[in-house]
Amino acid sequence: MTDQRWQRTKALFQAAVERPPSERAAFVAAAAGDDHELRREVEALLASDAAGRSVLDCLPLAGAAAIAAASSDPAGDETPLQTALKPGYRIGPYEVVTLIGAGAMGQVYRARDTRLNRDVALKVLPEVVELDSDQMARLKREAQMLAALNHPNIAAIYGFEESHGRHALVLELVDGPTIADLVARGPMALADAVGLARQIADALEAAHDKGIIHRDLKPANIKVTGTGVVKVLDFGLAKVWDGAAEAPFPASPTLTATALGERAILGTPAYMSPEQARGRPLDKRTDIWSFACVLFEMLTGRTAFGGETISDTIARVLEREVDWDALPASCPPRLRDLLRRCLRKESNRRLRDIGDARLELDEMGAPAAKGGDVGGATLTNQAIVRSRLFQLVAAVAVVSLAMAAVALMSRGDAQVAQPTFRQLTFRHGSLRGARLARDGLTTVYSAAWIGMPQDVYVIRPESVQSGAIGVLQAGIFSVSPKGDLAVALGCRLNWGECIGTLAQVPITGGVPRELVKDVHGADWSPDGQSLVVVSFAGGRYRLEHPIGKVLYEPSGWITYARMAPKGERIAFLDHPRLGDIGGAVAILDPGGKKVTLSSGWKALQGLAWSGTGNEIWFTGSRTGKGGSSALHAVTLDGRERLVFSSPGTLKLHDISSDGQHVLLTRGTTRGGVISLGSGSAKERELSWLDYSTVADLSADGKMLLFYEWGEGVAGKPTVFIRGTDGSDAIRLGEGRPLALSRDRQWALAVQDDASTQLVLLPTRTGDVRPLPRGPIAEYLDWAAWSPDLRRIYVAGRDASDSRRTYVQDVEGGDPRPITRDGFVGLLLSPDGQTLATVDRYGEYYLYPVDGKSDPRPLPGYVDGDVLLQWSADARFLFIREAGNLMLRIYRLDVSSGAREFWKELVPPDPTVLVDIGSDPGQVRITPDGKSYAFTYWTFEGELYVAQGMK
Amino acid sequence: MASRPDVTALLTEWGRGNTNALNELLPLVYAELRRIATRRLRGERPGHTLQATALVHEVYLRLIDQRNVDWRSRAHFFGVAAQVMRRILVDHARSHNASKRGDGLPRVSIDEAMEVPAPDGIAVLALDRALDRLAGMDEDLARIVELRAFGGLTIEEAACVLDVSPSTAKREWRTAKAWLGRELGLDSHP
Repeated sequence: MTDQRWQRTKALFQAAVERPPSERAAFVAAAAGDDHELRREVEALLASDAAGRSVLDCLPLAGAAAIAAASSDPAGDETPLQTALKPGYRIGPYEVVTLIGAGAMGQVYRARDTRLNRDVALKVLPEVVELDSDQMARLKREAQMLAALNHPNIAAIYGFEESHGRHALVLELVDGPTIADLVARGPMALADAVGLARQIADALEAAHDKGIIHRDLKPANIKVTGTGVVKVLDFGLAKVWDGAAEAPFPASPTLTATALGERAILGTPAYMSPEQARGRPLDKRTDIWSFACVLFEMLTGRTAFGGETISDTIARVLEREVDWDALPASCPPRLRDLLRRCLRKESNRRLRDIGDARLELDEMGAPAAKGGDVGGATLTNQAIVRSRLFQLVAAVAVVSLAMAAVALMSRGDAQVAQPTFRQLTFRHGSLRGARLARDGLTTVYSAAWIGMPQDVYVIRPESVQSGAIGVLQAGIFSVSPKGDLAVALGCRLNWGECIGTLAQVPITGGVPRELVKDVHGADWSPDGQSLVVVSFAGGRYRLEHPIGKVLYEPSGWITYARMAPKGERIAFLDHPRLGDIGGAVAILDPGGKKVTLSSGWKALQGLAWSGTGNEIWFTGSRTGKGGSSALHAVTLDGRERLVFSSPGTLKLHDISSDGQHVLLTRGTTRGGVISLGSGSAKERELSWLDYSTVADLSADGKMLLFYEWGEGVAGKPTVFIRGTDGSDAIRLGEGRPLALSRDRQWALAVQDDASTQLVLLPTRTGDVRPLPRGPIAEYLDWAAWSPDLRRIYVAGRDASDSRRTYVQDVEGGDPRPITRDGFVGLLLSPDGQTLATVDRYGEYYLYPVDGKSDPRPLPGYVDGDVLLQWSADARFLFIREAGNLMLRIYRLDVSSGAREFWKELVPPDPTVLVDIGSDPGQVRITPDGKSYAFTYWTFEGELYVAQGMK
Repeated sequence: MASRPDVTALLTEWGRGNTNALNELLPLVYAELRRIATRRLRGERPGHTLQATALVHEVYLRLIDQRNVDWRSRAHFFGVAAQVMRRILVDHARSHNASKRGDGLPRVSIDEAMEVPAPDGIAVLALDRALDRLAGMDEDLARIVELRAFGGLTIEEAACVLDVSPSTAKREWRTAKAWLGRELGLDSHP
């Protein structure tokens, strides 16, 4: 049937059904005229319609099984894995020692019970499992009930712990191989198998007496200690985890601690009873089935019902008989009979009581008393059983121990560091730099505590109290061997690090002696005779030593320049992109050459030389910016290792010269957004994830363009738009956004880390449009739309390192330069006529877009002013005055240079603020001045000194 | 916190016409459907049978941040889920039939093993083929059947996904049903 034909049929049918049934036939006949086929077709549809039933009424028709059994798709097999808890992590009184197993139901750790001083096993639920209070209560109840099980052959459950949103079951730690490990070496001697089975039966009997069913008995759940004692693990956990099964994560009871992923979950129904496989209610007879499966496997070395696939295995469980011929010839008839009775598919015909099995085994295992009953089998006596089993267990245990040791060594952290921590600061506020004095014991830090001005504090070893030395608004850079402090006066923060005038002041306080302006970091040489300085001048960062002698000029910026203990090298954090704390750990070698030791870090904050000078320790994260940042070390030839990690952000400040004391903060960084939308009288908090960063605000103040680049997006910069009315954010794609078109249809964004690909992201429908970059080697993160939206202006650096402003047609074609070398665009006036630019020396110029007149210096601005926006009539520029974490905004008259105060924008929690508005792009005002949005950065943390870190 | 794929955001994106988002969504929905179904199988609910649409709703509850989703995205989600469900059921029916024809060995498929009423494989495959034919001449009709039958959408929700008025959706649904009934020969055998 052609489309057209169908459309006619459809139209006629739909018109017909609108009429009363009695009139339909006549209507169709009349409408179809002599098109008999049409008439027949419509009548058939009407008949079908009148039948009132169709195949669709039987749909939807599949059950869970169909979907679970659906052909496997790679995506379907992925199981979210969690990151391992690091040694030292505490859940309640338990301190993680090492990971010993992992699976979808969580990870198992060896942990230290700090109260009872014993090691336990911790089963930690995956982090993504979110439990409501009912589920929590149920988990706890179950755990408590299980804790009441007290039997030598049952690994004890000590309890349930919850801390920092992590849930863990605390279990007896049993060393030794599992029966799965033992049978992997082949069938066991009959006597060994019977001896172990007896103990398993004993354990089951004790539990069944208390009404507890194991539900997941299998060789991997049964351990044998070095003395041949069976310990059945995970008793009843299947049911406990079931409580968690309502949480949004597949918490499977049938997963071994050593297996990973869904394949493993599906791989273990071999020990399930038929009623369990059918999802029927279970009683203790399910354990009897599983018990027999285990015994069969011990005797034969192979699974009773294992198949290639889950469905194959289940089919065998439900249908097939065990391969009785697989049992060794020595297997006594009585034992065969016992297995037969335990493996009856119908549970009501199965052996009822595990105690009966235990009795049978007792009798078989007692050679003297009932020797005749064993049917010719030669059973060794109990003592020999024990000793032979002991050898087997010992052999397996040695192998697994050796493998564990290899695994540990290859991970390079064979020594589990157990550092101790002493908290040094306790107040609410912002910590801004900390160093150790030469004695390695005296700590000097700068901080702005709530309700107090920023000051420098000293903690001496003989005291726990911090003493302020009264150098207000100063940040600590370094302490000389003689106790002179290098400080930043008038500290402004850049990513939590002070920038200011470098000055020298005694550790006891006094009048600071000013040395150099605009210093971003400083470190005394080991002899205290000179200073390494990071300065910022002429729009470039410089590493100087001594002051005035430039050793290195990065294209980006650097932090934490620190001299090696012997003074021959300088280590620093090399951040290739301005405003971005990602980058590499590098050194200047004795010849002054830069050598990168470790790169690819998404966030790097904190560096110090190890006591010996053989390593550089640093804190950073390779995955995200906001989340956990761990302590790492790298050798001078680039070998890296993890030293210590904990949740949240760690920031290393210093290491004492003997390497004994490590000074660090632990805390959390967040980027938030505040906005005043159009027509709104009240500011609104528009933070979305953890690093919400403003990029643009539509001219009407209604739409915010922002991006996230923290842990919430795994460090992958991601562009969002959001209504300033607080409506939901919409993800536009990856990248760092630069500008929103006035019609709000398009966002300009840079899409790669190297800033080489500019794209247009549609805010509604459509495809992402990459733009050609022509001569631009790197975009400098600024862009603007022409008023007619047909062109865009971008700032870029070309291959010869010239920085200019370019114009580019949206519809195509390469960018063309419109400014001379060195003039980088900052703001385009609303009429599109004038570009505010900054030259290579940091001076502001007004640049005519048509290029017909010369750029003219912006009158009336002072050092530290940041240009934010043109006014609608292009007579004023909104500027931000340099200030210590304040966003004081003025209107600067571009012809007279006069300024008037406009507004101060205040973040919600100024005490923990580390940065606000230092990146001009992060403060946006509409030209009419009626709306604005800004990003503020907070860091909250405490200072610790750690001992024993290796 | 391990970051979970933001299905809600993907959905919003897809709703705005980004087909890449759909490509990202499909495997997520597929995986979640399988996860939930797998868990159900080993759960302790005797004879528990979940209908496809109920599973879809469960997946929805798990994947979508309820606070951050509007009714339109919700409808779009069910649109995606319906497609996935159709694919799963058709694949299942195919393999089911194949194993019935068999290689000589008696095999119990997992749904029989679980005593879950097996879908009528023939009906699913016939419906799938009929839907393909229907889509060939009237894409919207085929879509509405997919949404209603496999995704469990109401008329109003289906209307939203298809961007038509509810009354149109209702008319289309009725037409599709009549056509399928006639096509599959079920009209005269109620």
